[in-house]
Amino acid sequence: MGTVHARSLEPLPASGPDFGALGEEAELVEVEPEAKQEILENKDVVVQHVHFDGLGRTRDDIIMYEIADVFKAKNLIDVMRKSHEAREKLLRLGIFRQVEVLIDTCQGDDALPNGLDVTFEVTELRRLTGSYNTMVGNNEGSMVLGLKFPNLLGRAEKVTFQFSYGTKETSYGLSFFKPQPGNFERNFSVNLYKVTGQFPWSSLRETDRGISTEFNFPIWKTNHTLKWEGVWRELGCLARTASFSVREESGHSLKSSISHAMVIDSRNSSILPKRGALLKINQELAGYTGGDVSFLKEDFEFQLNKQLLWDSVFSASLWGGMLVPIGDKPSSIADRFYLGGPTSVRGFSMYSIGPQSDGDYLGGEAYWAGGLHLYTPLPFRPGRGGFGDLFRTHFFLNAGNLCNLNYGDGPKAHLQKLAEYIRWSYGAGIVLRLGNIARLELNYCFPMGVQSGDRICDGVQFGAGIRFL
Amino acid sequence: MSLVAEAFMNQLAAAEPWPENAALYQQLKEDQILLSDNAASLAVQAFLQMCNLPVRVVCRANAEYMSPSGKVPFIHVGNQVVSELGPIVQFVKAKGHSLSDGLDEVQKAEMKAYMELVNNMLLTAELYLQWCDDVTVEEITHPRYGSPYPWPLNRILSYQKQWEIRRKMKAIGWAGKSLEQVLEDVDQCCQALSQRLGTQPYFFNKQPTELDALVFGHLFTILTTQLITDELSEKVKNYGNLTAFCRRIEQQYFEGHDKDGSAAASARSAKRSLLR
Repeated sequence: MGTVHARSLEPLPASGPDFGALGEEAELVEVEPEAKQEILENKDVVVQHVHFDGLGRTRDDIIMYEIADVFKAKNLIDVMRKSHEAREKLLRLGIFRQVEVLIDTCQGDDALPNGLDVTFEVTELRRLTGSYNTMVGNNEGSMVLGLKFPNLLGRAEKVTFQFSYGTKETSYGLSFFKPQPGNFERNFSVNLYKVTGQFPWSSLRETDRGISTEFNFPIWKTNHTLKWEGVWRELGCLARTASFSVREESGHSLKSSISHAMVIDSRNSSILPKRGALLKINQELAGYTGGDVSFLKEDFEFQLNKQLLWDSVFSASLWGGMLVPIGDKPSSIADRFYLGGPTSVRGFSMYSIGPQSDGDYLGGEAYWAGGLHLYTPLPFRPGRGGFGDLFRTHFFLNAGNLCNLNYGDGPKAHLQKLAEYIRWSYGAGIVLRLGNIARLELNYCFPMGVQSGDRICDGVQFGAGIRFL
Repeated sequence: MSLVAEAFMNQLAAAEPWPENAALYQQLKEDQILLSDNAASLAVQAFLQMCNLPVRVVCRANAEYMSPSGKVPFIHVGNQVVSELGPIVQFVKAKGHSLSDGLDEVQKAEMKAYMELVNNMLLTAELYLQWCDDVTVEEITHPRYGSPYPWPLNRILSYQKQWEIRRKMKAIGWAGKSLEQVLEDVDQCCQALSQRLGTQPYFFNKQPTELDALVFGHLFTILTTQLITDELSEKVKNYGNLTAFCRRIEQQYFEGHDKDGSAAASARSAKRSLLR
């Protein structure tokens, strides 16, 4: 929190504080602080000036939007609260390293008796900042080097260059971000990237070079993203022993797609939430803006959490998706869905459920997966109040299915196909929370409903990631 | 897979007979395939015909990227994928079919030398003409190479390939050559082949060998491909016994089959006929 200074509204009498002069107010309350609180709350004030110290390249107009509310404050508590909110908003823009707020009475010729001056003392970020992080994705880790130009043109635009070297992926990207002045949640960004990935479960290597532009905007309680993406994809075999079905997918393709995503998130945390729900719906239409890949893809993610007695949390989640190729070209292995692994249906090897050829998993055009979890604190609660709070024990039941649908049949046949050969698993384990971004899991799993061709990981399974079923 | 395991797998594969559904993969005949790739594919088809091994030709736009070595053609036999004429000859030999068994050591060495000549001279000249001669590149190669892909991918891929080939040309010292010099080299190569062939039906008298298949593949394609100018095919036409050789092999091994397997159909589509 920053510092907020406030001085009293009336000059103290020359002979020292004279509480007798307060009259009846002094008799109403016995505890001194409460008397002060009453005075402050009831006093009408007017914010006459808001000063800014330390602005360099930042433009005035975006600052005005963020602090507009401060002028509307009616009493001192309101001024303090609105100044604090303005400070949060200014920090959120990502252009200041530090923001301090000073509230003082107004001095000068035009000062009203109840006039206030609010001063924001800010320190802008340097023109160029560098960073070095490590990142944890879904069962992979990477080093990330970044260069950032914050507040490039004065209105909180940002240009970032990032290079990431990881266990499964190497990538670099350049991105330009611009929020709407006054409305930070509405923003758009343009990204250029090259990503290479290796997928040993399919014996596939993929290099994507692409450009994307996206608009984010909130509507009521939901967050929407509209994105156009153009990607040049190059697929290749990872080993000479790749199956012929994967070999047939090698080569180049160009995907040009528009997508829309909607997120409603009322959870209190994204890792190990205690309450709230999450709904994400994503659709993508490719092929109508160029390129040679044409499909319609839908997928959704739903999660519900409820706190039960004794600090335990019950969580239910459901994922699903469908890929419909448009035209007579079959779908590409790079667009299909995959299922299985420590972050998806536990007890099975990474992405090792569903259609396969010679041990290479080809993915499927439709899937669903669900999980029921019970999180409890560690038995006997060691390290309570400190380190022990990062751990949870975890009992789970996961199920799912991945297959290709024959789109000629009706929805009833589709549901039937998704309902036969369900893979499921149950087990228990320990979850470790890493900050607010990732979690590690160590589980003992019993996979069931295993079909021929699936690869299982029964017994101990370790998983790290940000998105778990 | 380790080398030992791969050798073991090859041994196992060698024991299997030639299947009915063997397939040879190349780029699209009508719109995409280039002179050099067509020559290579035709050579392999001729070789397999001479060995009496049935194979069907499958055309895929991404054949070049499907191939384990990056070059077309490649064959898919049972579980094995083998690309380029040299390895295919070895593979077929492991299965017990060979055209050069009847040759003695000296002749085998001679055959290898002539095959190297064709690969170093004729093939390189074809690549030079396709990728380093600006007129041909602009009018024939770029449109054909990128034809299966949408814009801008077609441009990116053909420029990428052009840089790669030009780098290779620089490495072998052909970058500085002019078109006339290249055509001279082709002429010399044809002269050497013509002298070796003489009046015999095949290079090694009575029986065709892989050298015959390779020479047929290249010469037939050169003779029947329409380029900007006729200079390349004229160089070959100067040698009557070479054109007769090509016609003979075409008649013996490719005519009388249905259109899909016929070399004539594959080389002739959108191109001139040999007999003109």
